[in-house]
Amino acid sequence: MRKIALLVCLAGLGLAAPARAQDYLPPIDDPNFRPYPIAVPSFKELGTGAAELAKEGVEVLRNDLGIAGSFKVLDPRSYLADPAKEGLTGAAINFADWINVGAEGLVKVGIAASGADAVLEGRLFDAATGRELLLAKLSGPKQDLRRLVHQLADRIVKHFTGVRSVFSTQIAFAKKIKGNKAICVMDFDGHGERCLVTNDSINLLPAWSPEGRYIYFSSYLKGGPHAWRVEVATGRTNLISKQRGLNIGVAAAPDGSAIALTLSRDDNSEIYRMAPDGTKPVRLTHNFAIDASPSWSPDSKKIAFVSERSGNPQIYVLPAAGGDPRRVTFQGNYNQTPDWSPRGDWILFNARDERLVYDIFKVNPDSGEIRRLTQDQGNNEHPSWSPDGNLVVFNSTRAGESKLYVMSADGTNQRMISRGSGEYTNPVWGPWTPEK
Amino acid sequence: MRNALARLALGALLAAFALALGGCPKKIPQPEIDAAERATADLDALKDCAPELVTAARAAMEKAQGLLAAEKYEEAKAGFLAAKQLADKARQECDQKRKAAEEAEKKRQAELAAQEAARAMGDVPAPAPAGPAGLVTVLFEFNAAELTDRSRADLEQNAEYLRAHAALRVQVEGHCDNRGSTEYNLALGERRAMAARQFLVKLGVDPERLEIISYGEERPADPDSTEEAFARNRRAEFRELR
Repeated sequence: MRKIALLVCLAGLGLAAPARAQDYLPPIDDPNFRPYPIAVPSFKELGTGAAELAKEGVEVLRNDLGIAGSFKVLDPRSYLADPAKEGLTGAAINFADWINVGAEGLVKVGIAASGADAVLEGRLFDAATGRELLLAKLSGPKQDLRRLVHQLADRIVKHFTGVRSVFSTQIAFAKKIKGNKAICVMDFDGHGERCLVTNDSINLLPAWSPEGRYIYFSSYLKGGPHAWRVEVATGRTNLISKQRGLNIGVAAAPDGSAIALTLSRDDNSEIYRMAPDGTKPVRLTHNFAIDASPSWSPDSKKIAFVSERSGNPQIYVLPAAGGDPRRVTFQGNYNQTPDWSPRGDWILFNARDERLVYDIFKVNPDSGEIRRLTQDQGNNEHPSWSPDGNLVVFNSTRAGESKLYVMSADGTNQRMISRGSGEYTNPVWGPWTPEK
Repeated sequence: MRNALARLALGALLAAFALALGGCPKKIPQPEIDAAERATADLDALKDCAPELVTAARAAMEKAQGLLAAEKYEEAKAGFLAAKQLADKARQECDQKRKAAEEAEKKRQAELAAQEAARAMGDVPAPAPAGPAGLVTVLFEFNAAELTDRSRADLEQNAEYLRAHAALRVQVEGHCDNRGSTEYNLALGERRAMAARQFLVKLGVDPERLEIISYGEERPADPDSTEEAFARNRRAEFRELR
């Protein structure tokens, strides 16, 4: 984890001081990691007309910090202090009440309605010392409340980890609608679902461009299936690759220089590299086996993929410029859908285990070490990393129909995030958008 | 129409009585007569759904009119009341029958709509569009595109059919069960379609007549998650090209 020095504005005192080293939490998969117990009492309504905003806002914040995995959000029913009465600033808070319920951190938020806007003032305190660690003032249209609270949550997490969290990111997926499949997006917490590509055809395998402007996908709209992309802001689509046979499973290089995908124009599915607009295809695999599912390393120099050249599907890694593939997985006989972590240290994949159930694993591409992330909960497939590498989204049949779930990078804290009816598959976590 | 005429005639008759008697006789049960006439006005429309009650109501009406003509007003009054009650009963029975029929129809429509919706959502497979008779679906083993003895026999049958129908062009669709990844299954489905096509070509079918497409796990023949359903879904299907 990057331990960059983060300057925290100690508002009120007008002082700037470097955060103490102990404010940083180790990464979730670090042996020293333990979730940081944090209390998030109800937002305090300042003035009138903000009761509904306060109610929704605190739910968003608790949910965000809960999904993040780094925190244990303490049960509000256990709180001793009355959030309606207690103040929002250090001098007005009885920290003993918070220490006594096990809190190490305390988030206090005041919220007001100002015309059409919501105005938030959030403070993060160290419960033991009463020190104010963070002050965030945010305002915007009331209908953007969720976005505002996500920004506050991002600031809180960044204080502890030094990097932005994913609360302002989106997840793309394929959704079954009337026997066909649409390409849709939703916020990382499952809210704000909207479909970008609904054309009464089967549309599959969405993949984000690195800056989040486009979503690549595969579609049967004009036969094929062909590779397309849709501009997220406008919904405009254009055809990227329509060679004979399959044009599927686009993955964009993180540096924006190229895309990789599977074509079968030579009568066998092979991995190709292309320019981001679908021109200049270069064949990277040369083997009479199925080769599919490319995923780029974070430095854009290597590509992980699936090949059944050994007789059954396994994960391999190949230089993006072309060259000999190296086998990465040696356990199991049905390993698929690699997704290389943004930190480079793990490749997620899903595997069929000895009981013929599909579960999610990760493999270290250098050492070959394998860790299991899901077990005994239906079939779990198509894992995709969050841009900070702390979380994983995947689809699971644990509740019947396939739905989308998020878990921490170590497999803990699994929860359903998709909210609608219908079958959700092929989730991919989108990139960070520019920080506001 | 006939009832209206009868009513006019009866009215005229009563008027004549009244004139003859030099005043309205108090004993003529006029409200009962009117009520019975209104109640029996649509007996024709009821005779199909409550035939026995309609017949009884008509008989009662006739009898009451006879009594009225005979100036047996008290008995006539009872008769008209009975006729009205019988006609009302017939109407009730018809209403009930009609409502029951409407309910049944509504239920049937709702069931049809639900089935249609379920099919649209992909929960129930649409009845398979009839492919060219004689072209049979070929099945495959798990994670395999290799032909079995059974699938070779099926393809020989298909080749024979294609030889007999020389103008026919078909699309060979490769499909998988829904286990395993979307992408891998698209590749595997294509291999199945290719294997079927290749064997047909070996049996003498012109390759130009055979297009291939892979649907991976997207178009199951059976949406269930049982081994039987999986086995039916690992297949190559043949669709006539127009």
